[in-house]
Amino acid sequence: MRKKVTLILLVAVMLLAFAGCRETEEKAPMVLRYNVGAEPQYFDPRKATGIPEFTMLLNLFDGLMRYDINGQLVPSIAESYTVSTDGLLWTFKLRDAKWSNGEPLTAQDFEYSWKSALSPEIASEYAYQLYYIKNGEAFNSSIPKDGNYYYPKVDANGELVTDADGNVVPDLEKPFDVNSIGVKAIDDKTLEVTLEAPTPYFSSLLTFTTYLPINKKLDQANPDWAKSADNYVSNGPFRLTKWEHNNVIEMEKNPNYWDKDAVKLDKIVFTMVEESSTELLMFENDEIDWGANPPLPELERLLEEGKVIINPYLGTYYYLFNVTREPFDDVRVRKALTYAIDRESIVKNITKAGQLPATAYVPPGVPDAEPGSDFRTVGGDFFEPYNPEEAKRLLAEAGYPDGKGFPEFTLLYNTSEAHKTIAEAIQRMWKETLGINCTLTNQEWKVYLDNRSTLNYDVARAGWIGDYTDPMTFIDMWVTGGGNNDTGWGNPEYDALVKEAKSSGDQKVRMEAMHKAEKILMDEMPIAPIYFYTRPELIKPYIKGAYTSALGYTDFKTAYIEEH
Amino acid sequence: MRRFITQRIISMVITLWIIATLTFFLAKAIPGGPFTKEKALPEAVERNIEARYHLNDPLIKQYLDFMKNLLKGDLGPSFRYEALTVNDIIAKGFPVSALLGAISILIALGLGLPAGIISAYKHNFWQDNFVMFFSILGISIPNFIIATLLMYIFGLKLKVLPVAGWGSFRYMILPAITLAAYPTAYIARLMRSSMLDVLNQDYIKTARAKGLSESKVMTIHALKNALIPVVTYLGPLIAAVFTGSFVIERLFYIPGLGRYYVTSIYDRDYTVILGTTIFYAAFLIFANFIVDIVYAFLDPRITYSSQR
Repeated sequence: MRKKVTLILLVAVMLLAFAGCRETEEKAPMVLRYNVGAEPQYFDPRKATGIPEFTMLLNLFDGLMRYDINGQLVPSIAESYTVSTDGLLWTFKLRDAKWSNGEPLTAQDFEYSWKSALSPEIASEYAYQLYYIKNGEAFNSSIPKDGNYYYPKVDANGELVTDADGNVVPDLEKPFDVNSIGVKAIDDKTLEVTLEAPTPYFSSLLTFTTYLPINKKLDQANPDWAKSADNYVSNGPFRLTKWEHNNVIEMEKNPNYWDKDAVKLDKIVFTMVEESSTELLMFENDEIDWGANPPLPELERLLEEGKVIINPYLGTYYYLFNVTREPFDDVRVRKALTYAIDRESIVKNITKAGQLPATAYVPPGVPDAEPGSDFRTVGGDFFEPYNPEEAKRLLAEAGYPDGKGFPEFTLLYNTSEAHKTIAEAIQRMWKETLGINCTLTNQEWKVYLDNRSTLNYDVARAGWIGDYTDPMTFIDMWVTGGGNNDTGWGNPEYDALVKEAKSSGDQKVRMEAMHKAEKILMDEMPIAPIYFYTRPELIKPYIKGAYTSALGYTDFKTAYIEEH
Repeated sequence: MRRFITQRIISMVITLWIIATLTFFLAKAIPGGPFTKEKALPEAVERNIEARYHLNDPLIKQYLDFMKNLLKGDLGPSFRYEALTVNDIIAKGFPVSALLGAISILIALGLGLPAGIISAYKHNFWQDNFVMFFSILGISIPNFIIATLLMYIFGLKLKVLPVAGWGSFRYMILPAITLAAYPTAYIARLMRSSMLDVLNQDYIKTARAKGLSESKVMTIHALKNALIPVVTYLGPLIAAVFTGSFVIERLFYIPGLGRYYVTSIYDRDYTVILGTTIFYAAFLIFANFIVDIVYAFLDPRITYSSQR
């Protein structure tokens, strides 16, 4: 009996040993573990808005254009495209591509996706990213009624007419024709897009999530397809295989992707850890390979240990002046406060992640008219990073020598340790250089946004991250009465320059207009630029080939894991 | 007893209705809405969103619609998590939080009760001092410090347990210990003081005088009565621990319900604020109701008869 048992055990051990050998011969799947830091809102490209959503969607989908690993814009689902001489008509030839369920991807899918993203019923927050398309805005502003769309009713003064509940009413005499929207599938492989105005950067906009295609057949059959991994269909390098809310999201290589040979990762595992100290512990314990939010107090050590890599981030950190309030209605006061900020000291001693002192509004990393040139380099600096003498002189000129008689004011920021530290430093600089006093107020994010947009502040902290790589994403927000212009400032000349840049297809004309506009902005200084953002991230040294966009998302199409 | 239960159920429903109403109007009164973002939305987009989510309806109509759905058991869709309804969020998050909570309560009772009893029995001996020392630590150290210490020692240094996440039993150990720390310490102290109190009562002296064995005095006479304060504490404790802790779920990255109590307010996710608040309130009220019934079994002096 004992012999028998020994024999069985021996055989079992040998079998196990063999099984072990086989496993090592087969290549282990290449899996990347990435912490995006927040649960995505939705996996429908038409409605996505946040950076975690962008990262996930751009790995799941492929648009007409895509950025390659070097940041070059290349045709992706589009094989080629032509632009008419007036810059309005764009014709895309689509390559043979498939959905992850094997169905062919057609131009009709694009037409359907863009139109439905614009439809008032879908109520997409980012629908306005499609306003470049002819009648896109008109469709998004139309009012649906009994299966038709109507323009909203306006009175003689051009104001919207509303009913007793405050709802806008449709003008039944002015129906909106859905066929007038400037996107048309000529055949399965040809997509014709008509724009409202010539937009040379339209090709780069096509990488934006709102311009991604969705499977028309699927969406019509099952409008809830994007709510779980079960029925999910995409057309990109990866396909969604698992979505457990606030726990884990998994994507696997899409075998039906047209460029599948370029995809090296077998799987990406996304976690949504919000707490940055937990993220760091998981990173140091080898539970994740990449974390998007390293804790700021640890940054210095992590940079020294080579655990953090600083990626570019197209954004500006600045302070807003409420120009409708005294004394900030005086440009000399605004300039004095701006010049009295020691930017070098802030980026060196506080933010410490390679940020650049901002002496203009548009950050570096945006191309200018000449190929290879940068808008920031061409535009140059508008003021010194720190100029206490000029600041003192201007304040005296405004009638407050050494800060005498300067009213006490508040500096508003949204509650965060990082903003607080910067605000305290600037409070001290203003006190020491100019002799003026301000009190700091912090508010919860949405309360702060509410007060900012209703101009219920004196000076407030703000930040802006570009939506696309053209200076317009920074310039057009400061037009008079613009939805993001939370300063009360306006200048007709500025508005005219923005209009000029928006209506021209000539890059030279556009860039020149935008340089002039930026100069006006910096001459009148409704905002005080402080620094240009960067994006420090925890990345294991063996992760290669990922494209980290300055717009905030990360593309793992060509990423791989080196032997380590 | 029956009349007591009927009365309590009626008052529970009224309490819940008041809580739901107050929460509804308070949530709507916070500045900003679910779609307030740093980047301002064009007017048309805002209009479409308001129409889609019925945010432009008069407040009183929104309230009545909400109440109507609430009676049907439908808590509505989440604004922040478009793929989820509030019912989904509770159905997915509550079992996770409740499992973790149950483990912690078992730890808390399993350690806290004996520690308290020993402490009382060995009053002013080293056993008492030992228990009291640790119970002071358990009560005064904030749970995020305990969590970070445990993660650092058992995860990063000893590498025996995962730092964070959810799945198998291994993932539950550290958060359960963290979650149990305070209640364990509190129960130990509670048990000790109530035990000391009871041991000085006349009827214990009588029992001893009658010549009952010490173990019988302790278990039959002392323990049952000394448990009453602990049972009182267990009601709200179970409600709080089973419905999840924001700090622990965030630190240990646990897909429970606790995070939503806080994040829904930041997100102005009205339906989730209401859903989780009502759920917690209902749980708490129900737990207290059960506690009241348990009293009747523990203490013969408490009855809910309709005499008098």
